[in-house]
Amino acid sequence: MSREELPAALWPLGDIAGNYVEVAGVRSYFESCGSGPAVLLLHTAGRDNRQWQWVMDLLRDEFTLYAPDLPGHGKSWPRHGEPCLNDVSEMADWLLEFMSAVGQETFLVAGTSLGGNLALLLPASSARVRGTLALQGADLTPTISETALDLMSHPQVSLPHSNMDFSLSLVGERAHHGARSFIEWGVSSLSPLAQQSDLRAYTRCDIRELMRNVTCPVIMAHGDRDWLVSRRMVDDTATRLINARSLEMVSLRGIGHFPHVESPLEVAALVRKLGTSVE
Amino acid sequence: MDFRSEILARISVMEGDSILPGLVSRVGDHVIQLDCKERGSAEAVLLRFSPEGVTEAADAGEPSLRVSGPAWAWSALLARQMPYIAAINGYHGGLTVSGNAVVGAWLTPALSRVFA
Repeated sequence: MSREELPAALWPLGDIAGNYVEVAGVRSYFESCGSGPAVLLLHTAGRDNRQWQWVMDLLRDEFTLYAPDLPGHGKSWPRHGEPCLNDVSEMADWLLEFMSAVGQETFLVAGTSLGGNLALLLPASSARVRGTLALQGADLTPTISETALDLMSHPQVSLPHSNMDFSLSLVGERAHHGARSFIEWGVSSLSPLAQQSDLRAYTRCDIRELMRNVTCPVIMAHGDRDWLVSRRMVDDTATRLINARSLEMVSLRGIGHFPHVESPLEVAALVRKLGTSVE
Repeated sequence: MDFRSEILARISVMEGDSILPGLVSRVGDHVIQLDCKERGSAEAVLLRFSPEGVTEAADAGEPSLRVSGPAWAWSALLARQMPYIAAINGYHGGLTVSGNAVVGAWLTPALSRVFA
């Protein structure tokens, strides 16, 4: 990503360390920086932790930030046999083990889309989560057909080609130019198996019954230009968070499906607000 | 994107006949013409791409694609109230895509530009 494509506030990047840790027998890559309360950052389906670099840089003075690549994504090695996880419960277990592996017992979570769903599932599964920010997150997302999933790894289908318009149609008009370029590049460099596995987990995600288990503070933020995860899906989820210590709904106007990429400043502010809410 | 292919796609409109006549669009770099006509004119809808075949090689017969659905979904699509990619989404849309799967995958980007 070149400097001229980015708002001044997002350049230059500070130091972000890349490391490996073993998680569930997988040599798993993550990036981290900063000091302070731990925050786990979750990428969207088929992508990797680079999505969070701008937010990480904005928050490094206040938090210790961890952005892992799920197995088979980015620089994380694939699993033996089935390369990627394809179930949200398995992903949640993997993420909890990851945070143990990096030595963090309790932590905040922020995630987008698939990561947003996981940001809701993790506190429902574990009391180790002190607060969560779900961006474009919902507890029921049956949005991708099985046919479309099968096509992603079809030998005569180019996933970057067929997925490009889909992904870019989800970007809001207020996304900065660098974000749009990066999202486009993300599609161009998709791994079909990673995307397929993630979206299989995503479209089969139905964690409605678990939402009552969430007791920590929750912020649900929704980019209003995202047609895939509609406001109604987010609002429906909110009605089931009946035991959350606090619940704040935020509308991100002019922002689409990738708020952490499209508007890092706003997302960084939401993480700060989440940090304050758990104090 | 560099997409060079020539495809004839047959679209059967199951409902919403009155919406489609007269829709002719110049769309993007790839789709030259979209000419939709009324139900019953099975060969009426052509999407023509230029200039070299890609999916034809994979589907040597007649590449075909069918998009069907209720009138409200077609109305939303043609009124640009719902993008194509949302209209065929399993959760949000009312339209169903069927036919040759590979052709469908290749036509999705083009159709999503027609009905952005």
